[in-house]
Amino acid sequence: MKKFLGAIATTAMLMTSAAWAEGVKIGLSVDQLFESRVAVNNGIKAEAADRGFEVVEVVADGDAQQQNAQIQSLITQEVDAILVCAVDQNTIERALMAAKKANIPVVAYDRDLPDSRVVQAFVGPDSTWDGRMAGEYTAKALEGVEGDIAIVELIGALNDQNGIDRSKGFREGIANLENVKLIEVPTDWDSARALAGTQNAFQANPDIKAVFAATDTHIPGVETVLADLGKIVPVGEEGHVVVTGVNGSNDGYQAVVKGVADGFVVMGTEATGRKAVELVADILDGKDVERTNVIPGDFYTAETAEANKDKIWGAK
Amino acid sequence: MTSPTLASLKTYPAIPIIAALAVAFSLFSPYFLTSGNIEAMLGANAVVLIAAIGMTFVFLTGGIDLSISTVISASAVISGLVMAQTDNVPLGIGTAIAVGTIFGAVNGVLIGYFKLTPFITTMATQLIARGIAFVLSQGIAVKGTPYWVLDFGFMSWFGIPAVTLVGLGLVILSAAALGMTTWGRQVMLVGSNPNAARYTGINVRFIEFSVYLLAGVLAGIAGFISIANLGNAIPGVGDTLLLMIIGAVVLGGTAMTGGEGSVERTVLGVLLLAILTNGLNLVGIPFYDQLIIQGILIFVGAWLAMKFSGQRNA
Repeated sequence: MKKFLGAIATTAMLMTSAAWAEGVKIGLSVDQLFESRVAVNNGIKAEAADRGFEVVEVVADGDAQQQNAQIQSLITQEVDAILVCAVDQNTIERALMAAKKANIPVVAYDRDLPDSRVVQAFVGPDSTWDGRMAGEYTAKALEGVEGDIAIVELIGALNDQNGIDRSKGFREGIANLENVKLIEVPTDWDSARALAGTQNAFQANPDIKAVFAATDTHIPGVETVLADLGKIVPVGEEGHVVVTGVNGSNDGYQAVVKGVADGFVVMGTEATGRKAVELVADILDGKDVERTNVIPGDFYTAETAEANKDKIWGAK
Repeated sequence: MTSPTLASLKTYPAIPIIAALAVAFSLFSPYFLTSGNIEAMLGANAVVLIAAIGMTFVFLTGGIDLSISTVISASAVISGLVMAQTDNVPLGIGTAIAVGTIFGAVNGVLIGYFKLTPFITTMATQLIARGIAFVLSQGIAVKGTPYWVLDFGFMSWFGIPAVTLVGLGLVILSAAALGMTTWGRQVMLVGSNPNAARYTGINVRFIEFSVYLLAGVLAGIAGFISIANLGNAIPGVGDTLLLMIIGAVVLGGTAMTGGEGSVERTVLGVLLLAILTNGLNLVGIPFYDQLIIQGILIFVGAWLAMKFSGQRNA
């Protein structure tokens, strides 16, 4: 029993020694960890470190109950502000109300909480803009193509605002292209479903001219399908399928550099994270802040991607 | 060897771990023993507590109910939809209990009377309940919860949340049913020796039916409590709870093989897991490191439980 207590004590001591410094303490409540979320969180931690703020991070692993309990525990720890990316936008309002009662300001990042009466500011990607840039590139690349233009759209999750907005933006981007036949493939952000959906689409319609992936992590699946059909043709040559995506992951970067994908929109994950901390600092200083802050992404093609490697979060 | 301390350790193997964790966490987080933290911790675990009571009875007969977790979701969603339409809270409570009762009865009939395997039967009902929860809610939280339910979720008496008091009330009732009634004694006997139970004239089929029915009813109540806790009914609410429920019952000292255990032990098992997750968060240990520590502590808990119960058998 002594040993066991000792082990707990040592672990706890190692991990809390840093946690009792004076100064601003930000509670960071994360829905779950995956590539792009970690990239934003790293931006948050970097900006917090620059400002001498301390960050207490809790991860709910996709469980709304857990996230509620974790936000409660942040309130108990008397954090000065809470940064939250919600598992489900409708289920953490209760815990956020408790934060409000305790006079702890709340800023949402990456996923907005539009109906919340507690959230004072939001910062996240400009998903409509991101989708539109991919759409505009696709429209330009297919300008002058005769006849029906079949385009596959790998849609994100239908209950995720970022997925919905990327789709909306992409459609705005291709609005001027005539005779478009859009083939919608819902993926729920799942790569296996994206792969199967792309296969089905190409089987039903071998003459597809372009693919838009709501997340570039689905592009390797698209590549598999194109390779099976012998349709990997360099950009600009006859028979090339225009492939674009949004995100900025390593999958997307590799595909663009290899020339499998034409280009991709890279989200400003670090800028998002840094802006989130800046909003917190401004609120704590009593300054007025914008309710909704969006960080538009940047579009890179094979020619520009490698030169801008340090601006692409997935390429680092 | 008959000192009262040792005797209670044999019955409640979770106690030394709970004590050790409580001491360690209060040393390393100044917030652990604050009334606000204790209240939040109790409230957050009310759903698991209520559901774990039902699992305890199922384990006592030597069975398992994998559907408890998603029956919580289905009851919550259907009850939430009913309340959003009618704004009638008693009707919502009744709906949640009715949904749980129906699932429990289906499990009970198939396992008790048709002799299907508990694991496969409840795996099937687990899928069906999850499907119903997602289809009816279209995958998103059901909005429009009456304000009374939200207020109830915030209520507490002397630092104990109302949702936890509901759980403790159910603990007292079910502990009494297990310890003081003929039915309770029959449940224990069916679990420890089904053949002997049959020869003594116990209606084993009915006993099996009744524990799954009870587990369903309690899952329904837990579903309603989840709405009070979260403010809305969410279709995925139970998805992550199954292993928490099973873990709490087993760590509390109830055997999965039947005949050994009690509702009181499960309360301690729930408390152990509640303290563990709450404390690790407070101490600031990163999420995936927490999982490793939880796993190791569950080894320790299982070992202690084995050691103490082994001494009893010797």
